[in-house]
Amino acid sequence: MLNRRQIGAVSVLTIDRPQRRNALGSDIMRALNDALDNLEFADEVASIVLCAAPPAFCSGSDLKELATMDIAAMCRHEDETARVVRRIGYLEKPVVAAVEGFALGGGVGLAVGCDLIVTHPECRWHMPEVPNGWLPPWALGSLSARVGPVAARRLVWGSEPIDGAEAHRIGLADYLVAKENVEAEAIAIATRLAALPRVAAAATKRFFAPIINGGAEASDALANRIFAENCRDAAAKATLQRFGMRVS
Amino acid sequence: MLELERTGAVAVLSIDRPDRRNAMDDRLIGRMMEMLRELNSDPGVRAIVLNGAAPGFCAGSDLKFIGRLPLDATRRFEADTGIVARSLGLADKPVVAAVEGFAIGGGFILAVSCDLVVTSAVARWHLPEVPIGWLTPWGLQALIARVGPVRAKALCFGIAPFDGVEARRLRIADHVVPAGEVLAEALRRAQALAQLPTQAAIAGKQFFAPAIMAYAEVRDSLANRLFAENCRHPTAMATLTRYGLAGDAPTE
Repeated sequence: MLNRRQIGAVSVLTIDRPQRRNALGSDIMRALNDALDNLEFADEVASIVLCAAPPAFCSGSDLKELATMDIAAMCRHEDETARVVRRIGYLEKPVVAAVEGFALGGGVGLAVGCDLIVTHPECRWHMPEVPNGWLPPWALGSLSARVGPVAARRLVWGSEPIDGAEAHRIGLADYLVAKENVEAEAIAIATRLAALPRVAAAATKRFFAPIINGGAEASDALANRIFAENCRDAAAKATLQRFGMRVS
Repeated sequence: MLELERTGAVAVLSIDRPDRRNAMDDRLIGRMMEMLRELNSDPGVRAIVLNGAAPGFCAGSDLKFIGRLPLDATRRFEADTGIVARSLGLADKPVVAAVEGFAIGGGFILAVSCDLVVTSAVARWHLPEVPIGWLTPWGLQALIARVGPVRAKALCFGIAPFDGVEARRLRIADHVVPAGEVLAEALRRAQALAQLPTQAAIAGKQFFAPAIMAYAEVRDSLANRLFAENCRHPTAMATLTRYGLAGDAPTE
C-alpha cells in the first residue's frame, strides 16, 4: 500500500494502490503518517522521495470510501488527510514528489505539500472539485505559496486542466523531464539534497516553514467549512449522488 | 477522567483527575479530542465550557506520565495535545474556560486557547516549564494572540506565579470572580453566547480565526523540536527522571 525502500540516504516512499488509482484513502494516509513519524527520527534518512506505482501519481480522494460516509464524516476524513499532508512541510528533511501520469484533486494537494516536484510534459494536472460542486477542502495555502494566489484561484476553478509543461512554466512543478525519467530524476535530486550538511538543510526548511505554511492550518480549516457548505448545495449533491454517496 | 454535562444548549466538559490535579495524559487528551469533535458537530450544542473539577482547572502535562515515556513518544503526546488545543480555536462553537484553583503549564495554555477565560481572583497562574528545563511545547500562538509576543515571551520564562486579578490585567483572562463562583459565571457567559444567532456567532469566530490561529501549527512544530532539544539537557532530564520514577509526584 505504501512501500518504502532505501537508496543510500534517500528513503523512497511509493503509494501502491493501483486498483484505486493511488487514491488517498484513510489507510494510505495512516500509513503515510506512520512513515513520517518514523522518517523524522531515522538517522539513515537524509531526504525523501514520494512517488506512486503506475498508472499515475494520485487520483485524489477515494470516492469509493467517501461513498460510505455522510458529509460530517467526509469533512473529518479530509481534515485528517490535510493534517498528514501539512506534516510533510514540518518534517525537517526535504521531500521530492515524482508526479507521473496524472495528479488530480487531492493528488495536486499532496504534490504541493512536498518541497520539490518533478513531472513530465504530458502529465495531467487537474483540480476537478469546483466543477464537481465544491471547494477543495485543503492544500489551497500551499498551492498559493507555489504559484501565487491569482494562479492558484485559476487552477482551483478547474475549468482548464493543464499539462506538465504548463505546470512547470507556472511554477507548480520545479523540474520537467521525460516520462520515463521522472522517478530517477526525483531520486537524483533527493540524493543531491541528502549530500548537503544536514543541519543547514534542516535549518533551511525550518526557516521557510512559517513563510510557506504559516497560514496553512487556519486556511485548511476554513476551506473544510466552505467545502461542507458547498456539499449541501444542489450541484454538489447531484455529483455526490452520482458517486453513490448518501446526501440528505 | 473527562465528564460531560449538558445545560440547555451549553455543554460543560470537566477534566476530572483529582488525584493528578487534573493533569493531562494520553487517555485524557484522546477523549477530549473525541468529545470536542462530537460537540462541534452536534447542532443542539451552541457553546462549550471547559472546566476542571476540584481542586482546580488543570496542572498541565502529567509529568508522572511523560516521565516514563521515551522522548519520541513524549514529543508525539505533546504534539497531540497541541492539536486538541488548536481545535478549540478552529472549531465553530465558542468555548469558555472556567479557571478555578490553578492553571499551570499546559493547563494555562489550554485556558488561553479558549475564546473567553473566566478566572477566580485567587487562582494560581504559572508557566513553570522553562524553570524546570524546557520550552512549553505547544499553544504559544494562543498566548501571543492574547497578550502580544513580548509579554508572551516574558510569561514563558515563568519567573513567578500570579493570581487571577493579575491574569486579567495581563489580558490572559477576560473576567474575574470570587473563588467558588467561576463555573456559574462561565455558564452565564456561555449561555449568553449560545443565545446569539448561530450563523452570526460562527461568522464571528471564523472571521478572526486566521488572525488568531495563523502560525499556530508551524509554531507548535518548532516549539516541539526545541522542547525535544531541551529535554536532552541535564535540568530537564533530572526533572523527568524525578517525576517519572516517583510514585506520587506533583504535576507541575
